[in-house]
Amino acid sequence: MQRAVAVSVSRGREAEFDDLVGPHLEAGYRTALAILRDPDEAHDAVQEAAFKAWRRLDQLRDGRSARAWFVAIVANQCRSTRRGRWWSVLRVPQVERGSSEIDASRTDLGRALARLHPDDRLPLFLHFYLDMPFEEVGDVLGLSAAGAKTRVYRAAKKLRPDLELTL
Amino acid sequence: MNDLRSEIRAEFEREQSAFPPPGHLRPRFVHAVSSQAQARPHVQLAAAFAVLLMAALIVAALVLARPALVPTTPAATPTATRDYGPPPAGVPLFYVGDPRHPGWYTGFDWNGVPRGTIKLTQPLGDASNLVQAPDGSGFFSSGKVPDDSGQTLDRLGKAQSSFPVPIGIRQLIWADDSRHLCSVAFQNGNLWLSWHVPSFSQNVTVVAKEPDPARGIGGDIGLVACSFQTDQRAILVRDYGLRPTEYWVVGLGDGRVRAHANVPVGIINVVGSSDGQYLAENASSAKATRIVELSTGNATEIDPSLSVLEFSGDDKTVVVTPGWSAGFPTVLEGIELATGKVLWRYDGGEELAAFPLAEPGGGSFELTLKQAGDQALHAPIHVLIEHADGTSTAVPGTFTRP
Repeated sequence: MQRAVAVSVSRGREAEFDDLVGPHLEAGYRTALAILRDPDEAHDAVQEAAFKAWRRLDQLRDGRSARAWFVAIVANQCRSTRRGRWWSVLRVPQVERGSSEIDASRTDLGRALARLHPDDRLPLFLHFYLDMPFEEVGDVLGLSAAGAKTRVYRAAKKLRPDLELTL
Repeated sequence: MNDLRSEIRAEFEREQSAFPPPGHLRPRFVHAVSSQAQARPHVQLAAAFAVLLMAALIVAALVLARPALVPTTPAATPTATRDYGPPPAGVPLFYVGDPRHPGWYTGFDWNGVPRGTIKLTQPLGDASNLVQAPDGSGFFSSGKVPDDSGQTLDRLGKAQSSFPVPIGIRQLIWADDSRHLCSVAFQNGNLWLSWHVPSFSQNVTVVAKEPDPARGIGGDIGLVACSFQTDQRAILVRDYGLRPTEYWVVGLGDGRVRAHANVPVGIINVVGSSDGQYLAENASSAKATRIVELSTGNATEIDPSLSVLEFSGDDKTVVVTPGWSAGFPTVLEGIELATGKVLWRYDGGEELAAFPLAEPGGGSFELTLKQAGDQALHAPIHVLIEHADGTSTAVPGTFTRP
């Protein structure tokens, strides 16, 4: 796990921010993209999260994982973004709807992953894509390592209901 | 598991490769944030100064006006340990339990003012609940009080012997007029939809037969709405395999099916408006959550991450939560149906202890909230009234669920 390092207070704030948060901006962007699935919204969410991180930089000097700390801020910002855009209303004329479109280029698992609730996608993304250990996933989600493991397990079960996992 | 890990990773990589991070992401963001941070404090300082100035003006105005201030509402400092006397007739009330007096329930009006107390002659058992009529003018208790059948109570909390709970009852709900009860009950192998008022019951129609009691009726059929106020109709839903599969709109006068539809796969539950005019289909991740206007079939699709918990009494607002899948909702929003505007939002850290109660015919909701994670059967609750104008009223005190 990556840990924040003590920094000299004499260094400039921008350099300090670049040292601590800079390495994790790409992880933050990729996380935002995984949640929001829109590059423009992901860009805006990371920029806002970065600004919040700047203001809370002092919170990072307690030995926490800088990556988990920043990704957690990004995830929260993405939740706010999703709440803000929730009313993507589409008036449809009939009760019955046609079958949803299928992207033939995607695998079954890919389609299942695409349809997964963002709250389920996030732990999978953190653990399987960003290779975060459960302890760090827990830091992002506000859970214990055991709780994070359970969340990953449950999300994976939704992709493959018949799955027997030995995480 | 390693295969699954590889497959999931590959799918995420496929998604990510479509939108790679912008070039020079790190220096661009660091510079942008640094520039923003230097610019925003001026805005914040100006805003803070404006707030301080306004606060000072308000305090000055209140101090100057104080001698002339006259209370316009009763002092709302309930302790829930008082006896507020018999509840007034004709005033819509919602009830909460008095934690210090088992069997006592305090009725509050929709401004959060305590207006009356009902006292049961015998406190309900642990497994029982008191289910109030929408306006609080009647109750029925679930569970073993005084026996398996439960009982109905009048406005003052007195048992109504002339208003028996039907035998073979599967489900009983209040109609939106607070006068009728609607039920589904087994009688001689048939599942009847019926309605009841004191001293009279009317069987409406057989909604299912039970050819083989061991096999049941192929799922469970229940009521999600019953209306006598605007239109005599009920909404019945069949659940099968832990998900709703179809619903019917049935006229309570003639028993005719006015509408029938299958519920799309991917819907995890449905919620009806109290007048039976709307049905919310709450989706799993695969589908959009929809609000269907049953008379026209028109549907409004909303974000599938949101679940509708309740409609307002005037059908203009819905309470939604984005946190349904995580257990008890802790974040709630009141959304205006016509515009999608967020009228109010609760994100206070406590979790919902029961479904929101809608003000009859109005736009307010009563939220009963308990400490997150408290699984006690009679956990202490706090009460918040969220109004359609975006204001909220916190009812002072700690209570129990009725």
